[in-house]
Amino acid sequence: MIQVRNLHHCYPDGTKSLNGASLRIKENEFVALIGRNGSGKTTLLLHLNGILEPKRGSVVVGGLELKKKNLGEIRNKVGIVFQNPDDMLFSATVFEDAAFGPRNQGLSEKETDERVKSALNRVGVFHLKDKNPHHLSLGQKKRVSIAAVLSMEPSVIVFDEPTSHLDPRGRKEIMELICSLNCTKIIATHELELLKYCNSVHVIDGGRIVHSGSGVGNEILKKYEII
Amino acid sequence: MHHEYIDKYSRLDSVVHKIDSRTKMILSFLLILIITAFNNFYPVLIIMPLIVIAILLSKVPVMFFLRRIAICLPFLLFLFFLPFSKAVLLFSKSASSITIITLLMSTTTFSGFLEALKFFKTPKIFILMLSFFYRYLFLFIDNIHRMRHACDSRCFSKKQSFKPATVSGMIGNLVVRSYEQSERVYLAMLARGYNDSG
Repeated sequence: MIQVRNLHHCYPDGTKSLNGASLRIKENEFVALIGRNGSGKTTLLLHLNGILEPKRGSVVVGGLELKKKNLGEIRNKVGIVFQNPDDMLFSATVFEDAAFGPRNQGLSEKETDERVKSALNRVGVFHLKDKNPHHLSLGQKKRVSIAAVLSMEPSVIVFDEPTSHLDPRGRKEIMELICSLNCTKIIATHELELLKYCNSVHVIDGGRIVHSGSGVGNEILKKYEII
Repeated sequence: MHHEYIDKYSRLDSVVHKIDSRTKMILSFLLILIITAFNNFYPVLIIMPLIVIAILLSKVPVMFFLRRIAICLPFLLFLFFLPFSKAVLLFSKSASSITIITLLMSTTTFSGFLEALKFFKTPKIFILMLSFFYRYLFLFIDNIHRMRHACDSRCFSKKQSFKPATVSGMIGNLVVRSYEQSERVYLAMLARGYNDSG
């Protein structure tokens, strides 16, 4: 489904954030990407739907190479749920926020309406549809930001730190919600307890994938100073 | 965090709230146009009693309007420079306009207001900017509150926390954070298929 080959990235201030990262993700897999702060997790995720373009190396999603002409199609396939819901929710109502993506996809108002309703129902926040996102609790905002991506019906959803700042109960609920979604899922996290939900784990360090497998042992975690 | 919202009373249930937001918008702008266009007291004297009735019907607290009208008190300073009647006319015109706008905003939800703008074919970018403004203004205020709390908790007196160096540092921090947030919001919009021409 997703193939990342020898990806390099350097921020304008000279910081090298990716240094030859390579990664393969199969369809319907639930993948965890773990690494320390500043190891390149978010930069890698931002490449997956073309927010950042590969300077060196390549990203292929569902057979399409990440290039300017494919951007629209790739963004339809890959949705990103950002770490801070306040970055995603900017409309006056929850409904409008969930409708932002489908409208950009060029869907009619009727289709948008259906998509938004089903997405809001799916994450259990339909009753909040007329509320201002600012009035919601963090857990509710996280749900709405997931609905905002679900309404675009992507085949891959990328979650950047999906459980940050949530209480244990909220963490469990969000993870169960994510597990129940029927698509390829990628989460970037440094919370090791989330690994039990995933069927594949990739460890990133210094901008490279240093371990891939169905699990990860303490030795590796220690070696890369994650614990 | 608690702060006042522009459309704080917009979810009350009254006759005025039930009027279509487009009708209210056209009426408000027409009335303001009439009030400001004529150079005498008649429009104010004719229109304002009707507005007062609408305010009473709307169930929005009268104090809320009085506080809003206080914004134009500085116009009374013109009493010192202008003939008495002109200064009073200026004040009454601005106070009436503010009352009408406040009535419009406190009986229409912000989303209803944006819907109405959309109906009148306002450029998309303008509506998007207004909706950003409504959303992020409060986030901005929250940031200020949070920073103040964090600062106050490490200062032992008001004097310490209001030092010019502290305040300027905070303002700088806020500007940088808002700028960075705007970048992240834009990325999140791109990720959901937004394009500049859209």
